[in-house]
Amino acid sequence: MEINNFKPEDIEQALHVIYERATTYDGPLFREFMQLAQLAAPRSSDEDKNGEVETDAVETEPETRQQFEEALSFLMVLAFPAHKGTEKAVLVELNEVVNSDAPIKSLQMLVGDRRVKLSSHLGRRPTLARSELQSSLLAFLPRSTEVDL
Amino acid sequence: MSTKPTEAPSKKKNQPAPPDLVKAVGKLLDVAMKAQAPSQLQAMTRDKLFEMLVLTRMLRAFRRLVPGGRVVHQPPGGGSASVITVACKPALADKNRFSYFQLIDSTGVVIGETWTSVEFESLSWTQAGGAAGKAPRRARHELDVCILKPGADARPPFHQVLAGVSCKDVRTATKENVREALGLRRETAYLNRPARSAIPWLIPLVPAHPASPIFLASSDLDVRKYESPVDALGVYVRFVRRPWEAES
Repeated sequence: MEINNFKPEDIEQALHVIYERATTYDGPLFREFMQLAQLAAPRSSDEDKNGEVETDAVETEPETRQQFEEALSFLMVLAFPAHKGTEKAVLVELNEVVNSDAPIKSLQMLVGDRRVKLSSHLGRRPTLARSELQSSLLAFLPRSTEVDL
Repeated sequence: MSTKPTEAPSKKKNQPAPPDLVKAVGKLLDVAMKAQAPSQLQAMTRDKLFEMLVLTRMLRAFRRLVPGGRVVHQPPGGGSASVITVACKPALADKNRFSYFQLIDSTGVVIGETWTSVEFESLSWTQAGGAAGKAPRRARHELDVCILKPGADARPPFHQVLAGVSCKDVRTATKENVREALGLRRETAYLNRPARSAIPWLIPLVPAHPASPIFLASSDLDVRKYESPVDALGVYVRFVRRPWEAES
């Protein structure tokens, strides 16, 4: 479901939940959750991101959606760090652009003289339930940007 | 004949209930809060993968924007073309140890070589009269992804860099990342009137000499607010979206 189908108060409430829980987090990703709290923090009602005075409630709606997109995007990466499926997806994209008779099958890095496959240090794909949760929320993130880079 | 009770007009049969946004966000937070801090090797691996994603997007842009252009993977000397080998930390552009990608135009001319994790010799080293190829560590900086002139030195001076990218996979302190990119800008070129870019297929004009664009590529959507005004200095901020849909 597209974000536009939700009422502003749903998005505001979701932001509030992110902010409240991020500020009370006390774990190994403390710095990341502090950043998340900053992204989801209530914004002053008399100042938008450009520092201009904003008083019209209707005009603040797109900004609330944008703030939610940013906080959600950050939270998604925290919840679902890169895994083996991410590597596969990158390889698929790479093989679409590289001219070669033989497809590229793996990525490795040299650690000293030791060859280390990236996949050996990436986690497994998320469970089905988590994949479904991820999919349901992807609709609230921007699609691929028009600019490749 | 019985009649079915009249349904409320807004109800539709066999339609899944729309997701409860707040509940879903709550569940996502539950997942994120259980995440463990990555080990050093895991963190390095995730960073490398993000660099490869950014490199791939750069190559994709080349294929899309240069008619007849080709991209060819060059494995390290004697290596398999089906395996990409990259450095885990700042390194030389060493064709005997690491993979790189040739950018070839429609006439078959190699117009650039794309690498990850290459150290270059800074502009300030040259400005201070330092000899080429002799820059100490303090006068060298890393480009996570870069396009070098064909045949560039293994430790290229700044003027052999056609484009450079600083890659940040969801980092704290976005503004610090922008400042870092500005530092790379300072050490790769002089501020100048806009001139034809070293990679005109991606950025037509760059206000620098040499006219090599410097990018900050981040998986944090928040980075978009920093696109301007640093582009006036030849630093281009880009959000790089993960290929979520293709990962499952």
